[in-house]
Amino acid sequence: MPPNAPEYRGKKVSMTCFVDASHANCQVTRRSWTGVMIFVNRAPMLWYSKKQYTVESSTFTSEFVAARVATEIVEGLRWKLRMMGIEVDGPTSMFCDNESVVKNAARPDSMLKKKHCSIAYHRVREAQASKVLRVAWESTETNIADIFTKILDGHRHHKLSQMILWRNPPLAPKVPKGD
Amino acid sequence: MDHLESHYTLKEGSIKKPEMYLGAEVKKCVVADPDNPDKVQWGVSSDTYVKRALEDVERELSQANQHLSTRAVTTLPVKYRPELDTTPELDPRRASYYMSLIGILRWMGELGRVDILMAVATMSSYMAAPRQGHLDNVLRILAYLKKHPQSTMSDL
Repeated sequence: MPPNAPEYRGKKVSMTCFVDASHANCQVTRRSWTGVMIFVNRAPMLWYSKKQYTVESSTFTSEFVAARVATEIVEGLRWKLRMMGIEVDGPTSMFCDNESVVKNAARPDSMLKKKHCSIAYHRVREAQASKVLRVAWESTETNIADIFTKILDGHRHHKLSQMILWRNPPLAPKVPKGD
Repeated sequence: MDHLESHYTLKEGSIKKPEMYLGAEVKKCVVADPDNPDKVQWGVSSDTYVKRALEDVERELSQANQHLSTRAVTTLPVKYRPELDTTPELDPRRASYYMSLIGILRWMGELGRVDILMAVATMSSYMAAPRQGHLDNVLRILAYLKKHPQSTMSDL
């Protein structure tokens, strides 16, 4: 922390992050797609929808890569808010719809069985350990970042965009177990 | 403002509340906040930008005797695979038009139209060698915007 960092002013804000990935979405390169949506309090603040840079062999790994990308964005945004003198209330809740990723990232005793995504694994776990993040599970039905990873049908597209676009504010973050 | 005026000469009539910033409409709005329902806050909206972009595109299309579809419920067809598109490549003039459309759509995403973000990100992979099918589908995203011009993040 630099010595001339500004003092905190105003109310604390809470930060919520939704992550999703669609495995092997591109039929030519078989790369997956990352989708991230970050809310500060209840306002959509940052969004990301982009093809991943690597080919992943399983849904689990592509979700973990997405979680790593999201971790990096979250840390960047937290730092930015810190430097603007805005205090973030507790760790950022990160919601992911893949149960194995949540278990692997959130539980200290869980071991990684797929060695080739170990960088993403350690990146997310380190953020969780240093209380920057806390990873929790969110159903695919209500995971807002789903809209950024695949082309959806009319009904679901409408439902999810309504969730982001304020008419129906996003659900209050649930506190994950064992935290 | 008075402080600024004491140091600089300000142009007559140029001092007013902000209206546009980088293409986004700047307005005061009431946020649906249960704690203080009447609180007025500043907000930005992409509505004007979307409207003007659509006017531009429709003008361009009408020269070629085309028009935007009025039945686009989603941004792209669910089964559409741009990477498998084998329609002929666009000529340089229309390819650069494709790029400018992607640029416009990208800025809309930045201004808050997150509902089109996935579709735009998908289509912008084909900026270097766009095909006829890609252009048609970008026009479909615009047709979707025409059908849903209001889905902005701030309730204005």
